[in-house]
Amino acid sequence: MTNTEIIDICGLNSYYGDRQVLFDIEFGIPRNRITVIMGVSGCGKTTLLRHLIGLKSSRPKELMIEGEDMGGFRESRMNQYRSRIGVLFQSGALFNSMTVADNVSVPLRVHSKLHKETIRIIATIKLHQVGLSEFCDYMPSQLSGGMQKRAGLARALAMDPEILFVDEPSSGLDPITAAGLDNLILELKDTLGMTIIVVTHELESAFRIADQIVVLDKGRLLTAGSPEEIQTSQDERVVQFLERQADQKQENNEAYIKTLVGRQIPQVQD
Amino acid sequence: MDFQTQRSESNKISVKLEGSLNRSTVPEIRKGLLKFARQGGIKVMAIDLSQVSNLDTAGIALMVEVLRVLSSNGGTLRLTGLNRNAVKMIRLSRLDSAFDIANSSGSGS
Amino acid sequence: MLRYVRMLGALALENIENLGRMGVYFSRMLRGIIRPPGKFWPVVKQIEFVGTKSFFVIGFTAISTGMVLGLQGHYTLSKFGSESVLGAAVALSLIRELGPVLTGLMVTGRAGSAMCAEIGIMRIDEQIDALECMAIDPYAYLITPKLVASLIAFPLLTAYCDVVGIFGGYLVGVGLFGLNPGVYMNSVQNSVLWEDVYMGIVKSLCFSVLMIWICTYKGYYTGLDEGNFGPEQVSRATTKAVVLASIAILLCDYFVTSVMT
Repeated sequence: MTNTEIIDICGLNSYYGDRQVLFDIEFGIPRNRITVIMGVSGCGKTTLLRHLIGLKSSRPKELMIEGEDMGGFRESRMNQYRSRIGVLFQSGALFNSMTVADNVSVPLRVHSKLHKETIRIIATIKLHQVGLSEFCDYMPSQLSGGMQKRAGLARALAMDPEILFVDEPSSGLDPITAAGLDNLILELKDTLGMTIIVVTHELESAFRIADQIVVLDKGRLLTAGSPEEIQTSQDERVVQFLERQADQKQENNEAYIKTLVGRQIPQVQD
Repeated sequence: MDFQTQRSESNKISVKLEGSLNRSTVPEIRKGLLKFARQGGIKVMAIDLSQVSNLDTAGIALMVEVLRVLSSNGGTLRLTGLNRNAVKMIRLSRLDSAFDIANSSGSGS
Repeated sequence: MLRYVRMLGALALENIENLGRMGVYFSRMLRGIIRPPGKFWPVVKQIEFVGTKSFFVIGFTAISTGMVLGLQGHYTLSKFGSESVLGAAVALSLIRELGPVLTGLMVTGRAGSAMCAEIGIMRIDEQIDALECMAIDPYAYLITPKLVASLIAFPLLTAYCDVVGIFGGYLVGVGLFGLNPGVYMNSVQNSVLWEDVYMGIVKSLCFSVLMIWICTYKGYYTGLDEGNFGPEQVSRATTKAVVLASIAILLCDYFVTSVMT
């Protein structure tokens, strides 16, 4: 664990009941950089994210936040941590009963004594950053999925967090809006030195913004490194992953035929 | 967070802010600062932020509120002494054209 | 054979775990009251949701129940030649029993199910996770205002139900059966004691706690056990919540009545 790492994952194992979903995950998240956690659905990246934001409890010594063991966090320490982070959930997770601007204002209203006008201005600034300043007084249900996500990002940024966690930012967005979000994420890192962790399965986006890429496969760490290192990796599994796991498709197809026909059909090599 | 004011000419005011300007300190000085800005006949208010150690979006929002009050009376707000970080933050908030940013490092770049 | 024993054991453990979890939930719900600045407006909004919006339902229930009590009461009492105490019969039945119970059941069906669904939807949409990640205690923010509002609204609604019900009995007794209005109101006044009203208040408070506890709990834990966060989980949770809360209210009713009589 070096000083440049704000979060250190040291052998994280995770279970849902008896089923183990993460096996001995080990890597560090550097300060002021963008780390992208990648993998196909079911690889455990969402579970890993939940551990990082404290929604799933970790065992002792498995997850260190600035040198402190998160497994030993009391509620007050966890709240302290949470007030320094912002989280964008996959669906945006906006509160349906209030306007978009009120949504962004929620953390400010609860955690600060700012006047409501000041809060309103902060909310407008944040919404403008994500391109939604005209929609301040709309209800979440009146917005498209992509817009709800952007509003969720504005809310995550309301308290100027040091660490930002983003779950699948591009899903549901058109390429132009997705690129706009990527640019905002880069700008946040450059301007504010924000540490950003992005969970995604989109390769192009990952390579565009990441300083470090971490690849998970079936709950295990496949590889971790800079985009260049990953792209030039000789490890055949990494190469295959980059080629969208053609072999995975093959296995799936065989299982599919077996289900239909009742037995395995030997592959004809031509 | 402390602020000192000075009326140099009849329609210009200088304000110097010291300390942090973030969501913990803004509530304390907001009332006083806005009251000051509401004084009639101000053409230019210059706020010196060189001694401000910590500026976050709440601080910028307060500047916007001051600007609002001033422009409703026909005045402008000039921010001086901004360090690189402060300029970046204002740019990130897309407000660089709202304020008159003078004598700041990185302005105009 | 062994498999069934194992299943039974698992079921028992699951239910005990559930009970424990409900207990923890209850304490967290209460803790939200003691915590930092009580939020005034959310509580007021919830009072409007639980109380004001139930006005019509309770009023309708009360008037029809009162009228039925008047009819049945008159029928029974006339067998003993005691029609003149119809007022007492209607009033006591309502104040001690039917007022709190019917209010409890109707409000559970109306507001309890709505609350369960609202919180369940928030759960499946990760909104409760979002609150936690913003260092906002979801109990203090979501649940406690509803609890405080119910504790205020239930006794008031119950009282309103009692009054309207007594009036319903009056309509039947005086309007239909030609009882002397003075006799009716007199028998009400003479028979109702503070203990009766007190019993009604205690019951309404207990029922309000039960409703909030069970309905919000079911909403809060929607999908968490099954690992399935789809909309059908919300409707399942809501049905279970209303049924469980109603049964709990009826059981509690017996318990309180027997303790306080």
